[in-house]
Amino acid sequence: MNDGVINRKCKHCSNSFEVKGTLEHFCCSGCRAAHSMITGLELDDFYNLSEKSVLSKGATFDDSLVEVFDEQVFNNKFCEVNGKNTEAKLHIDGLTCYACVWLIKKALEKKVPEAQIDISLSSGESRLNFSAEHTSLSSLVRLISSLGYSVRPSVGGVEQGAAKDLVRIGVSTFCFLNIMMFALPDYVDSRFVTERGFWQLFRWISFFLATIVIFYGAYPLLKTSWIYLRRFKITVDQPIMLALLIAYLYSGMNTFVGSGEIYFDSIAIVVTLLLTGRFFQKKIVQSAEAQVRGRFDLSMHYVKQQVGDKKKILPVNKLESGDGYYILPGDPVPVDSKVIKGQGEITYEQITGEAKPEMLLEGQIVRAGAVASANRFDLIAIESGGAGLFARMDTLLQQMLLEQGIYTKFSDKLGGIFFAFIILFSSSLLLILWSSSPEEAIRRTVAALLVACPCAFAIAVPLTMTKATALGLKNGIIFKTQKAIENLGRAKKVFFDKTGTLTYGRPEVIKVIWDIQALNTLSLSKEMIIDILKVLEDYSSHHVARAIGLWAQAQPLGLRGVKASKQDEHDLISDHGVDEFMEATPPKIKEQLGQGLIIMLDHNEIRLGRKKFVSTQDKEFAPVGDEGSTVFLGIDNKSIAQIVLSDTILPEAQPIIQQIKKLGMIPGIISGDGATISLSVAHSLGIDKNYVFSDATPFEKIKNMNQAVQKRDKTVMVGNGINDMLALAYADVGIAVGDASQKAKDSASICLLGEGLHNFLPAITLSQTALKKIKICFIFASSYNLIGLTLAAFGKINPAVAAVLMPISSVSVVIIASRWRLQKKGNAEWRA
Amino acid sequence: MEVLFFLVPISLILAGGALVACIWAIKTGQFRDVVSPGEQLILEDKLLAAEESARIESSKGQSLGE
Repeated sequence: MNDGVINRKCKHCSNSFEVKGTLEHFCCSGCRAAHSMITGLELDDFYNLSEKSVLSKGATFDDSLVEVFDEQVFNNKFCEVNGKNTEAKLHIDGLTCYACVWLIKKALEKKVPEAQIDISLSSGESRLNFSAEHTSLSSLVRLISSLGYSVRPSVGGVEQGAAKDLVRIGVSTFCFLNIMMFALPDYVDSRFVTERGFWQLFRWISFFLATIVIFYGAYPLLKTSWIYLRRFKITVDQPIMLALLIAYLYSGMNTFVGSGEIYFDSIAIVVTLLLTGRFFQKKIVQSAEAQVRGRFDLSMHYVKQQVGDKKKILPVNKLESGDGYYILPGDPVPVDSKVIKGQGEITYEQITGEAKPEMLLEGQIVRAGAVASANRFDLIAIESGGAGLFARMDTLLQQMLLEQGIYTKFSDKLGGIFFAFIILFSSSLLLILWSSSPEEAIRRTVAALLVACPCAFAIAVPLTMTKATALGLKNGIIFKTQKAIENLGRAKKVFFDKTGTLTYGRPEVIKVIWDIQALNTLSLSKEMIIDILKVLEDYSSHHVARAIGLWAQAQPLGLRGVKASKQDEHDLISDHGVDEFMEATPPKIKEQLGQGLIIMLDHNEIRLGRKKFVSTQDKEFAPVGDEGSTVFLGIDNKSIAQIVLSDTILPEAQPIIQQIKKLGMIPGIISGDGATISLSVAHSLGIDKNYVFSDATPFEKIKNMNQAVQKRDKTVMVGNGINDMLALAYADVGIAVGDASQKAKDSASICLLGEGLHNFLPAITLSQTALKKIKICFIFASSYNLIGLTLAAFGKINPAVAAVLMPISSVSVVIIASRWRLQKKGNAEWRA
Repeated sequence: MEVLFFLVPISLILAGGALVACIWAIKTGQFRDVVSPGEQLILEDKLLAAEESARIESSKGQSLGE
């Protein structure tokens, strides 16, 4: 059907891409630029050395903004100056294997030999050392970027944090192993160690090591328990900390006294397991986040200014009313401004989600968020940078993300109940027995606390979540927080953005109504006109034109040279004319901004666009209804057809909505689009119109969610655009779908990779399974604990046995948590 | 058995030494990147092989040229 389309592998990154018969070897301009840079430096060996079959695509970078790396206000956050040497901490994206590291190091060697770089392949973190006398940071960044990698300042602390955690785990493990060694005699026949000297020595050593474990190893637990205690909130750390502290104090007392049980080994094993489990959890969450963290977008924070010939950069929040600046195609307008010079098409896609272009002329006011399609605009700000729409959205977003907190919370209900129960149980046990025998009371209470220790939760929950996150990662679902999995599993209301989430996001021709009478009068055939419309496919300047061209291409008819039925002078279009037109490149198409297109043939004119633009003749047209927007088609001032376009709903949307309803959830739509279209989409998907909100700005989207939600229901927001970012951050779970904008991905707690919604149901399944597993673990652990508690209360449990039971419960829960068996649901194939 | 009073502290000191070494290794960043050293070895092998063959090519060319 489409001739000349071949699949080819990019010469640089080896990704396959489609090309139309031209001699294009690269999949994108980034790859092309990187390739020429690499060959220019004679580092072609790179392509042979690379272990991977597919590299990452070359990143394009905004050369005009790289200078900002030299500004002190910008770089003092990640640069350190030691005399002549400056060390910059950078993050490099796009590294696939060691060959990339080699490439960058070699390129630096060749171009800037005085500079040195250390790159960590797995994380992308690097340290660049250079002398400010010989070179500048911006030229180094430029060099690395020109090789196809994306460079940005390092968000500090990730590596130091990991090192600290590892040290803590190392020390705890050391203490744990040694305590176990010294505890062994107590487990075996103690006849061997009746000599009191050793026995006491071992106890003192264990006490000393356990002190390290409690105050250094378990320090994170202590800290969070205290922080949340002050706020009167219950978390899973508190019961654990309580049990550990009581066991420690009791054992410590017994060490001083010289008799009685000690539980230092149990304390140590619990702390070590906990720390290890959380370490792995943190690692996988970081790797999940790294997958969706975007390339550093300088244009969001800086504007370009030009004074005479000199180009400058200014941070957006320093922009004052009255300041002049310019934007290039693709840059967003940061604040409401007035156009001084330039005219052309802009879209407010980032605000409304709709790619409908508008005209912007000199002297007009443009609102923040507009993006120019193809022209440069020189503007003067009429409000200051801090007040601009993006600044306000950003501030609000930061606030919301902060409030959510980074601490992963266990289900508050379950943890709270359990904690309360333990406290009640142990205190009543203590009181009851105190009167008869204080020693026995303490002994039994400690045994009870040990057996009831919720280490099962502390270990099982992170483990289940880690497993869920890892499975998600392998299948294109990025869970950024544990809370996201929890909330998605308990979701009640699911709100979808319309454009680009439930629909393709591009207009498509859904219906063409031909005026047959008019056609006959002009002795034209549909086929001829369709043939001509095919050229519009490459006319990418206008979504609608392109959509019509694609539709024309897809028509099964349209053989070239189909002759009109009457070959006489009344023929309006000669075959010759059509052929010539098709051969001519570029096709003679003129655009009348805001009105339509004119396709110019030898003797005729075909017009596409508004009714009056196409034909000044008054004519009655069949009403088209709510299905979409209409574009008129005419030739030589006579209209011959109405073309109806609409944003087609994704085919998978309907079954997904049905499935959501079957699972007991309520779907809704929140859209920046108009009511008519939103309601019609809702209708065709089976969504209750009470849950449809339209014409919503980013701020209104939050309000809408607020309205429809009661406190206890968990809400999900599914979106893909910048205009969704606040709603995504506000919802209990924000899901960024498919080709979402970076801001959306940053605000969402879950990102679905790949096209469309195909990962949506699997994500829900995954979350629900995770919650089910946690419930199973909980049931198992608590029944186990209840039995243990009862036995301890009656003194049936030798405290040594209690100490052994604790790790056994943990280990068995670990086994439960790590065995996943997922069935194939329909087309969904799980990669395990 | 009194020797234990002597042996136990020694074993703790030895073990402690191992711990110190471990912490030193972590702090000097040896665990920062566990992926690239392995790849680096293979890569350098490849580079050497490439240079070898390049050398052989050029020396062949010379001897043929004479």
